Amino acid sequence: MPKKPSSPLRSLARGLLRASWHKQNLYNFFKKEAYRRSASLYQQKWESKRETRAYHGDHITENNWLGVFKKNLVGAETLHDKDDKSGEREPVPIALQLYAPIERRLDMAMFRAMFASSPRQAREFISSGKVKVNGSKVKHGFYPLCPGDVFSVEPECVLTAVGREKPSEGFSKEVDTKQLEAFQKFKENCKEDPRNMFEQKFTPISVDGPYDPDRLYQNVRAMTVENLTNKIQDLNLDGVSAEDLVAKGQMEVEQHRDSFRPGESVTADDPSVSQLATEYFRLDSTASEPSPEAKDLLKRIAHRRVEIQQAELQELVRLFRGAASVYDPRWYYPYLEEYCGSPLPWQEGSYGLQDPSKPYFTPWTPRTFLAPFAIVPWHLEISYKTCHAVYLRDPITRRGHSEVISPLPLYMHENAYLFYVRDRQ
Amino acid sequence: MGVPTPKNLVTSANRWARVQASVTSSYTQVRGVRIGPGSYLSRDYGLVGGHTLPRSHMMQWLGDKSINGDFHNNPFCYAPRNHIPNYIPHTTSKISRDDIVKKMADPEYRKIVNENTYKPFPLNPYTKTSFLLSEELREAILESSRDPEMSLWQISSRYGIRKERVAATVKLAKIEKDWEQEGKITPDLARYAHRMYMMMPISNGRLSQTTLADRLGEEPMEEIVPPKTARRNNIQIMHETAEFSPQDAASFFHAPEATELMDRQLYADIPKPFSFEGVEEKDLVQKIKQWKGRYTDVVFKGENVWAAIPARAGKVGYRYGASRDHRKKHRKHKDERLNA
Repeated sequence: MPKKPSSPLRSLARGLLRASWHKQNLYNFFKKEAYRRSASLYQQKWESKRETRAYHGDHITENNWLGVFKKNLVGAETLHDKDDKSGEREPVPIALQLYAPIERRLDMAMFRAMFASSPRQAREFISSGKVKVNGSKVKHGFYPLCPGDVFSVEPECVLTAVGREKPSEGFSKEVDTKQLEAFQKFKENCKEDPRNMFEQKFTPISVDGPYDPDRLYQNVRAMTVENLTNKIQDLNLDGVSAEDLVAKGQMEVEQHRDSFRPGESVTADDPSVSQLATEYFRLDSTASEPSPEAKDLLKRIAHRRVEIQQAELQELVRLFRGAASVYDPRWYYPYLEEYCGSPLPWQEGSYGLQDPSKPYFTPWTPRTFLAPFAIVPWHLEISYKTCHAVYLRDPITRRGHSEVISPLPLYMHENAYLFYVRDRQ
Repeated sequence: MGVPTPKNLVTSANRWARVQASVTSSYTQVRGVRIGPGSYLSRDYGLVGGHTLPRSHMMQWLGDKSINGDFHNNPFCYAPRNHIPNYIPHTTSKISRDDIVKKMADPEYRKIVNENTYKPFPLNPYTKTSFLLSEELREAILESSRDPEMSLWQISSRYGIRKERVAATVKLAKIEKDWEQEGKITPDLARYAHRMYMMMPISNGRLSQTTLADRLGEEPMEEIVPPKTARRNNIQIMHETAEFSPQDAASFFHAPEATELMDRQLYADIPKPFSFEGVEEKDLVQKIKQWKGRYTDVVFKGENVWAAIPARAGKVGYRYGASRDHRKKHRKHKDERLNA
């Protein structure tokens, strides 16, 4: 029988940190602040003991904990560290080894492997015979794991623990009604003003560089991909007559007349417009009717200018592609019921009850507020696919790092150690 | 791909949330509260929206609910899918935690990855998350493990992963393969495994040192954990005239007595149990007596011949109940049928 909590586990007034994924517990984590109240040494020790024991095996009675408590704490050193006598090296947080013996327990290892949402839940799974160690059923949460032990949990239990809560039928119906209402409104808006809704839905995200909404809105969002593609099509010179090409080339040449300097050598294969213009001036600049060679040059100038413009536009398109796909007035058609065949295209069946026989939300979705607790332990190797894990070794501590996972500061562990070691010499 | 979620449907909701966030005062609370007169928990201070003050603070922190009841504006609500953890951020004296929550609404803020990204708890910088083996690294390890010329030690040093972890990876891969063949991996389980993989930080170890996670994920291999026998003082100071018997020495070292150790050494040399097969009945007694003289007692029970053979470490059968009499003082030996 686990220890009964003397006060609500997630009391907001006490603000103790528990080994649990509950969102209220996360709030307690979030608001926790490091402070050292001016108090007597014993008060500090008592408080530290209370805070640390609330996280490390709060379901174990004090006597059971004292049974595994060890006075001697051990840290790992590298040979390199021993030689290093400089003051810069990080300290060994040896006091964080205080609760290392608890990490050996099967229920705690299950919690660390994220197979259960708290050691208490892990304990329930174990006592109901859902957990095996090295292939044989173990029914005691205190079972001490040895290095190399493989433990496994029924996948159904893990999916229930880590997954979103299964909604009741009533709640599922309620959500579906709300979703239908909102989706109906969305589709109506799309029919009325497809362009506006398209832009709202695909809000631009910058492709490169820091997030700068002003730059994006000015440069990119004013243009649409539609406009850009039209512009590029206009630039195409395939069907343009030779006279027009020459005229275009001559316009470009006029821009470079000022920068022209006779006698300057130009490499023939350089495709830049200004280089081509310089070549043109050197070749033939006085005659009223340009020679065939000069005409050829003018055509090349027109082509080159178009190439440059195309490259610029494509750069803009690339920027815009980060924001949205190509606009089409019928873009919302896939959401209409006559096309997709269901009123809510993103879910099958009612909300969360695709397979009502399962004890968890279907299709399986991770529970909310899981992210801050998603920690990979150093002393376990986990296979999520099969809900198996291997206990590699007891968690150790080294310079600047402790493998025992604890949210509480080092000084609290030091004080708690002093509390427990008081008359156990 | 283009399927809208309820969150996307109401785009104005996000804007409203930003307005709300600027209105909220403070998420952090006064610590060390006392319940009693003068406390802000007291009824004198009134209830906020039908809730006590701490609870109303929490609800403010959780934010608005979406259609399906999620607190979708809270930065911790949804699990990440890009291997970058979403832990409670570390703060400095210049930036308060309230400001950081506002910052976290910006998707660009999450892209800043440094060493603090992998420290889950702001108060304890000594706790760091480990890393899952990336798919490529795992494949590489399994590929090397199939190579008979590669030893465990070689694989370990090549990829920067501890030996026991390499062995565990191989062990688990075998289980996974069995499960796949048996069809035990349901779609939901596969979905779970994929989401967990995407949520957790991954590392390439020494395979490719491109990201910070690759550098941090390389495990320290040269460190020494003192063995249990080395964790105690092996020197005892005593008076010159004090008595110190072999039994005292044994109890001090938590080891068997020297005589027993020597016995074990003797028995280790014995090649096999004595065989009585093919021995004629008239020679049997003599043979047994020889054997008895060398080893231990022989018991006659009707037609059967029983001999008590000293138990060897690691081979002792352990059964609950009456047969557990090797623990009894009067019978320290294990029974074993002859010629078994």
